[in-house]
Amino acid sequence: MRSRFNLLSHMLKILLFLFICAVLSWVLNQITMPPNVVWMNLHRVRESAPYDYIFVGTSHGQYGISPEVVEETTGKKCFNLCMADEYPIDTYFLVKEACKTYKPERIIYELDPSYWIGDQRLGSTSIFFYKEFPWSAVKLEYFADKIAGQDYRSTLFPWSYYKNNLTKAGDIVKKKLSAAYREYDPSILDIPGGYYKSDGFIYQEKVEGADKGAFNNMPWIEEEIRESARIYFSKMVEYCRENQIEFEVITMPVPEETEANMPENYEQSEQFFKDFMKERGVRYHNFNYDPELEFDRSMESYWDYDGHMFGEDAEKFSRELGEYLLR
Amino acid sequence: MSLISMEFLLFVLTAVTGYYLIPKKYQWIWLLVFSYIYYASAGVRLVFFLVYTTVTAYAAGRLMERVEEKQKKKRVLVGCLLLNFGMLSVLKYTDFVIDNLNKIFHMNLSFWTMILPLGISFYIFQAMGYILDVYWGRCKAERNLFRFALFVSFFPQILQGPIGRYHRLSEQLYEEHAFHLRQIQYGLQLMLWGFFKKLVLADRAAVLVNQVSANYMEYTGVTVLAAVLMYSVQLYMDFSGGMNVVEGVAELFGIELDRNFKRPYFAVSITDFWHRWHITLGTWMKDYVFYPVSLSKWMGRFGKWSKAVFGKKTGRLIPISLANVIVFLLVGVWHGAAWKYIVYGLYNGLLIAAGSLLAPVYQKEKKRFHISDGSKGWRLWQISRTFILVNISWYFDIAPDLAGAFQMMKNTLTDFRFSVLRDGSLLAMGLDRLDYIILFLGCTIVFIVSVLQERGVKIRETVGRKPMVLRWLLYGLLVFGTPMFGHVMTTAGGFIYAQF
Repeated sequence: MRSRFNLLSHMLKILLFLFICAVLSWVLNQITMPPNVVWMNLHRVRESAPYDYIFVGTSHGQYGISPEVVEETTGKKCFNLCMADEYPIDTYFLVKEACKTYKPERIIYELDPSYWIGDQRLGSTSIFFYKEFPWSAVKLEYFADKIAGQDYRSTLFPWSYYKNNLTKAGDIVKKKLSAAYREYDPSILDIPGGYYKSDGFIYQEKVEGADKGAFNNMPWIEEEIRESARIYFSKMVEYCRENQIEFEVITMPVPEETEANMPENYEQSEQFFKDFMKERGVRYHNFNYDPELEFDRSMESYWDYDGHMFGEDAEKFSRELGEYLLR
Repeated sequence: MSLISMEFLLFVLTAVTGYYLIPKKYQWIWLLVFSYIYYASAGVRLVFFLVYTTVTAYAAGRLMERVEEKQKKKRVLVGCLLLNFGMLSVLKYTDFVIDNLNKIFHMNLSFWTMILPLGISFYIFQAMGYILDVYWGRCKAERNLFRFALFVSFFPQILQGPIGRYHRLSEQLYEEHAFHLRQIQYGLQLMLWGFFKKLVLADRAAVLVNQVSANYMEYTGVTVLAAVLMYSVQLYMDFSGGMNVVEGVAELFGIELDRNFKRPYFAVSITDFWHRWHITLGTWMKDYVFYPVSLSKWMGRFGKWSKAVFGKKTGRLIPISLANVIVFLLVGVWHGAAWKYIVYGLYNGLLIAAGSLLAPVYQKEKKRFHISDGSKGWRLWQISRTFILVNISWYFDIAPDLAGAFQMMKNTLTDFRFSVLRDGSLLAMGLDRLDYIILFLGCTIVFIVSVLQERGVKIRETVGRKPMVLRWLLYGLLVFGTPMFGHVMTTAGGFIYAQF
C-alpha cells in the first residue's frame, strides 16, 4: 500500500514537472515567434474563401503574382499562397489546408526548379509552415510526414529556432496583444522594403540604385532531384484530380542576366519538367521560354538576381499571367 | 529514425509503455517486434541482411552444438564467419577494391555502388562474437531463433553499438522486468545528457570541422589545428552522446548495455585510450582477434624466432606488438573502405607496438630522472602526450582522403600563422563569439562531470540525493538548456558512427 502511494506521489511530481515545462515552453513560443506571413495567409485563405484560383509555390510567386491583377484579367477570384521556403512537401499540405474550407476551381503551382534539387534548411525554415497550421487531421498528417522525422526540438521546443528573438520579446508580446494582431491587420508584419497585400501578394517598392546582391542560383542537376519533391508533387496532382480541381504548373521568368549565366542548366530543367509534366498529364508553362512574353526581363524589373520582382513589375507580369490562364 | 528525432522519442514512449503493461513473459517478444519495426523503418529491404546474419549465426550455433568432431565444428564456424564477413566485405569494400584496381592497373571497371545496410558493422560483429563464444564453449547456443533474433537486433544499439556480448546481454533481454521509476528516471537523465552533448557541443563543433575539411587547401596551420581540436570535441560528444542516448533508452527497459566510453581524453597512453574509447570494439578485437592471433601456432613459431634473434625480453614483445598492429589494422578497416582509415588503424597499432617495445627504455629513463608514476606532473604529461597523439590520428578522420590528411598535417607544420587568431578569420567560418563561449562552457561542464566520475563520484545517485527543488532545477536546465543553447545544423546532421 505504502509503495503504491509512493509511486503515485512520484508520478504526480513527474506530471507536475512536465506541466511546468510545457507552460514554460508555451510562454517561450509566445514571446519569441513574431506574427508572420504564413500565419496571415492561412487565416486569410480560410476567412475570405471561396476562391476560384489559388497560387501555390515559392517566393518568386509571392513577389511576382498579384491575385488582384490576375482577377482583373480573368474575372476569377484569386489568392496567392506562394511563400518563401515553401518546398513541395509544404505546398502539398498547404493545398490540402486551403481546400479544407473551399475547393477552388484551379490550383496553379509556381515551380522553382531549385526547390526540387535542394534540401530545406533545418531550423525555423523547416517548421515555419507546420507551426502555423491550425489543429486538424491535415496538421497531424503533416507532422507524421515531415516534422516527426526532424529532431525533437521542432515539436517540443519550436521556440528554440527563434531564440535570437528573445531580445525582441517585448516588441513581440506588444504586437501580439495589439488589436492589429487580433484582427489580422497586415500592418503588423515586418516586411523590409515592401508590404503585404491582403491576397497573399507582397508588393516590393522600387528603390533606385539599391544593391541587388550577387548571382547565387543553384545549377540544375537532374540527378540531384529529391525523392520527396517527386512524391509530394505527385500527391498534389492526385489530390487535385480526386477533388476535381484543375491543376497546372508555371515557372516564373527570371532575369535575362541570370539565365545567361547558365543557359544550358535552364534549358535542361525546362526540358525535364516539360517531359515530366507531359507524363503526368499536367499543363506546364515556363515563362522564360515564352516568345510572346512582353514582360521586361532586365534587372530593372527585379530586386535581386534570384528573380524576385518589384511590385509594379509584378503587376505587369500578372496581367500577362492572367491572359495566359485564359488560354 | 534518428536518435534525436521526435519519431524516435514517440517510438520509445510507445515501446516502453507497452513493455510494462503487457504480461512480463511476453516482454522480450515485444522488444523483438519493436526492434524489427525500428530497423525496417530505414528500409524494408534492409531487413533481409539482418535476417541473413541472424539465421546463419543461429544455425551455425545450433549445428556446432550438435557436432562432436572438432574439425567439423571448425568448418561450421569458418563457414559462418565467411558468410557474414564475406557479405560485409562485399557490401562495404567492393568499390574500394575496384577503385584501387582501376588506379593501379589503369582499368575501367565500373563501381557496384551497393547499399550499406545501417548498423551492419555493429550487428555482424555482435553475432560473430556469439558464434566464436559458442565455438570456444564460452556460452551455449541459443535454442530459440526468435530470442537470438532479439540479441542481434535489439533496437537501441543496432545502429551504432555498443557491440554487446551474448553472456551479458541475452540474460537481460530475456528476463522479466518490473517497472521501476528510478530506472526510468536514470534512463531519461542519460538521454538528456546525450542530447546535450550532441546538440549543444557536437553539432556546433561540426561547423568549423566541416568547413575546414571541405576546403582544407585554403586554410593555414592554426585554422587546421583548430579544426582538428574541434574534431576531438565533435567526435567525442557525438559518439559518447549517442551512446548515452542508447544506454538511456536501454535502461528504460531495465537493460544495462556494455559501456563504450570511460573518459577517453584522460588516457595516459594510446593503449589506455583504447581501453576507454569505443571500448566494446576494442574488447571485441582483443578477445576475438588479438588472443587467437597471439596464441596461434604460426605466432608461436614467430615468437621463438624473434626470441632467438632479439633476445628473450625483446623477442617476447615482438609477437605481441605484431598482433597489436594486425588488430588495429582491422580496426582501421572496420571504420571504412578508404586508405585514410587503414593508415589510421596502422598508426594506432604502431604506436601501441612502439609503446610496448620501448617500455623498458621508458622505465630506465624514468628511474634516471627520478620520475614517480604517481606524480601529478607526470600524469598530466602522459595525458597531454596521449591527447596530442590521438589528435594526430584525427587528421586521417577529418580529411577527405589520405593525401588530404598529409596535406593538412603539412599545413599545420609549415604554414603556422598566429595572425589567424587575431584577424577574426576563425569567426568567419560559421561560428561566432557566442558559439565559442557556449562550446567552452559546455566542454567545461563535461570536463567537470568527467573529473568527478574519474574520482568515483556517481553523478546520478548524487543528484538523486539532493533536495527536490535542486534536482528539478538541474533537470529543467538539461531540458531547456539543450534547445536554448543547441546548435541547428543547416542540413540534416545525424550521428557520425551511425554511418558505420
